[in-house]
Amino acid sequence: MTTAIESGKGGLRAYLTAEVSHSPTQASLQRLYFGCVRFAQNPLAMIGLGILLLLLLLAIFAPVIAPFPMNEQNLGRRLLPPSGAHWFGTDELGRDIFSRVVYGSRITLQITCLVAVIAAPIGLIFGTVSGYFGGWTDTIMMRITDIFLSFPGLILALAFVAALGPGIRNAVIAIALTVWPPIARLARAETLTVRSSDYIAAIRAQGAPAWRIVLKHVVPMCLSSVIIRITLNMAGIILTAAALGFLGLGAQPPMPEWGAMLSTGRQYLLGSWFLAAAPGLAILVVSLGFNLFGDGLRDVLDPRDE
Amino acid sequence: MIKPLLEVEDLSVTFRTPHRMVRAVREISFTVGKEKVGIVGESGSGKSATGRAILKLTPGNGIVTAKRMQFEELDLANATEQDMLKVRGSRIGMILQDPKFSLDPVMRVGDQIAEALPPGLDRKEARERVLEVLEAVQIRNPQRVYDLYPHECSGGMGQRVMIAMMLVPEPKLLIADEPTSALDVTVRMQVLAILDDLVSRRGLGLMFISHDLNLVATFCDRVLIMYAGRIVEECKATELRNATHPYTQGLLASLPRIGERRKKLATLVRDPAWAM
Amino acid sequence: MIEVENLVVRFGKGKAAITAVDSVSFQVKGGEAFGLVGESGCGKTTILRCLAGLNQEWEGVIRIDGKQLSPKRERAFYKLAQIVFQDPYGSLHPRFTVNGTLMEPIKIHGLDRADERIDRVLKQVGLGPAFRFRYPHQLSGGQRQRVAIARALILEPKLLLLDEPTSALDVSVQAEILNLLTDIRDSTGLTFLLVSHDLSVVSHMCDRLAVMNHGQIYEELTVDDLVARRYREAYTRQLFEASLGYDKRLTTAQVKALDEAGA
Repeated sequence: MTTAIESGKGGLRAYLTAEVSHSPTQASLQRLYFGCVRFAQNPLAMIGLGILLLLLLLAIFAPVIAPFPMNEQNLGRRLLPPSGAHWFGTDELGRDIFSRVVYGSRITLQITCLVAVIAAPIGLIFGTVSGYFGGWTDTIMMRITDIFLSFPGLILALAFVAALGPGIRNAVIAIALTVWPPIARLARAETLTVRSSDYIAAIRAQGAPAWRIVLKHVVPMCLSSVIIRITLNMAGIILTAAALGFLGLGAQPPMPEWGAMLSTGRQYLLGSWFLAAAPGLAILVVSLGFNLFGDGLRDVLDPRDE
Repeated sequence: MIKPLLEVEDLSVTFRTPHRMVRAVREISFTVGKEKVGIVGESGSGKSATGRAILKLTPGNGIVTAKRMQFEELDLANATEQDMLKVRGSRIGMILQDPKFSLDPVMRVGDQIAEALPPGLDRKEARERVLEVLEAVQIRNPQRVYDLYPHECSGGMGQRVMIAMMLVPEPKLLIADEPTSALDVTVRMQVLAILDDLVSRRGLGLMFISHDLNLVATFCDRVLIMYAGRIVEECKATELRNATHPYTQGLLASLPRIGERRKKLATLVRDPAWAM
Repeated sequence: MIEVENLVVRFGKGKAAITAVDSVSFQVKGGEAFGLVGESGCGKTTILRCLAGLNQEWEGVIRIDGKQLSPKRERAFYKLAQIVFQDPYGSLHPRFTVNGTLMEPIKIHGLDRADERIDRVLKQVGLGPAFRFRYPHQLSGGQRQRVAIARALILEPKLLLLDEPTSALDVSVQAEILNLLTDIRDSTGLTFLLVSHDLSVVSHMCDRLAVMNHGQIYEELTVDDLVARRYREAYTRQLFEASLGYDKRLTTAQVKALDEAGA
């Protein structure tokens, strides 16, 4: 049934661009391929992707890329400005800032991925169930969401971390708790539109149970918006994590979390600007990367274009 | 021979898409005089693109070229946007399919019609003119209708309001793009009767674009059939039964008709030669 | 096959309630093709949705194949009656391939021999196996409607409910789909309930029809009677004459009726 995928460019390319698909796998892969092609036509989106890939590479190969161990102190070489030996200079304990920024990428990646993986499914399920069933279910679930939404994100995160105790794990949970409500609202709005469409009526008229309709038919329609929203939220997540770190409630010293580094850098801002500039620049670039990538994703995935 | 109001020669509309050039209209020529001309085609035939091209309302990625596009004394083919602003509405009017989408939803219907009036009238005069025009489209209670919002009007009334609005500046030519397709069948006939009446009383030209062959054949004086961007048939409405082009014949044969108890309808076999 | 007695459907509550279907009764024999004709808002689609189990707020009696039905249907009901929707562009899930769309009913009802059923039903609607893994946006309007019909047939129902199945299609495509439906009826002996505003489509496809307006059935008659103009109601006459095309003499007199009806 499946055409055997021959090795070599000709075979794979023909498989992906064939006029007629012969299996569900081929059909899905073709869709993915064309999505990627469209994405690649957007230069800004590719820049965003490039930045994110760079972040990934830094995180994976940190021990290889960083010239110094992240916590190696050298009190004789404190607060040195950027030079050949120390590209971003050294901090107040003589640690190489460049190495710390590189290792810090792991923490950033960890936080953003964990938050996305926790918040997106919760928001998606909450929103779709609420929107599909309507009535009291909707009212109660939305009022719960409203309670979370009514607090400014950072304040809510602070409250949770204060209750749970500082540390990365609790910071991730706290941030995830502030990120899921807007996702739920978004998923609910999409569900309300989708709910009245003929294709949902059609599957109802075939006897599908409600859970099947929600999971297999409604959720895929909301998925694009949620993915795009989460990607665009990443910048906010990084900044909230940085803010928590800045306030000493996120990653604890001596972890090279960028926000915490910014915080200590603040004290030395006048004399040694590079302590704050390096992590600050890193946060800026990664946030920008996520934004550009998210915009590119939206252009490819937005069902309204189809 | 009726002197034509609109003369079009070799009109082409091509759309630029990322993958290829779509030739929606391909070098068509026709005239419209003080008569009702129907342009019939299925989706993709280019009939709507033709209507819009005349008023230079083609979307951004479309390229309109014509050897000649003459409306009375005006040269539309080479007209600038400035020139067209003086033509649209006042010399050539356009009626679209769904009054829900053509009328401003937050403005009262009477006020919208009043916008089409020439400037300089005071409120009382303007209101009287609007009421006159509402009566001309057979609205019996114009005072009440003046204050309605578009969503409070039924389809038929909304379309009559559109016609009223288009007639205020007294254009010479009306382009109607599926003006009755969104209306119920009985209301449709009545709106057409009003249009018919107005067009003949005021001596206007009407370009009636539709997919409904039967409707156009019974309503219009002349019929143009479009297929794949070309005009494949041009004849008097009364002589449509004697059409010569196989596409027209195929289309006529595939229409279900009351009274003809055929088991199966004739289906159209598309000859690629028709698209040449 | 279908018995409807005093069906009432109301939308909204209290003073703002609208009666969409006002005590409608009719019957459809097994194997018959019955048409429900009327203009938009007359209630014909609402009746269809009540029969299909999509609309659960109605009062009255509905019997299909001898069994009286309650608003909430059991899963087995859906193997008895299936519905084909009007808009081919909206009735297929954009994220499912044709295969996926046809697999859903098979999985829901736990049927066996999935591939065989899918191939058979695609063949029945005139689509070859090449269409099996296409997405809806890769199909034309006529092809999508064929898939919608295939989806309705895959559960082997006895009754097919058709909601303006060709209104959104080009004339030439309409002819193909109507012919397909005729073929299906001939080969399977299905009962058809066809809802349409187009009298010529109904007179082509159906044996009998009911004319509806304002939620009520004004008149029931056979197509032969309709063709011979043996109708009784003025409204039926209006619809009949409108379906013949524009006639200046007839309509000028009716223009005043527009305002009286508030249209």
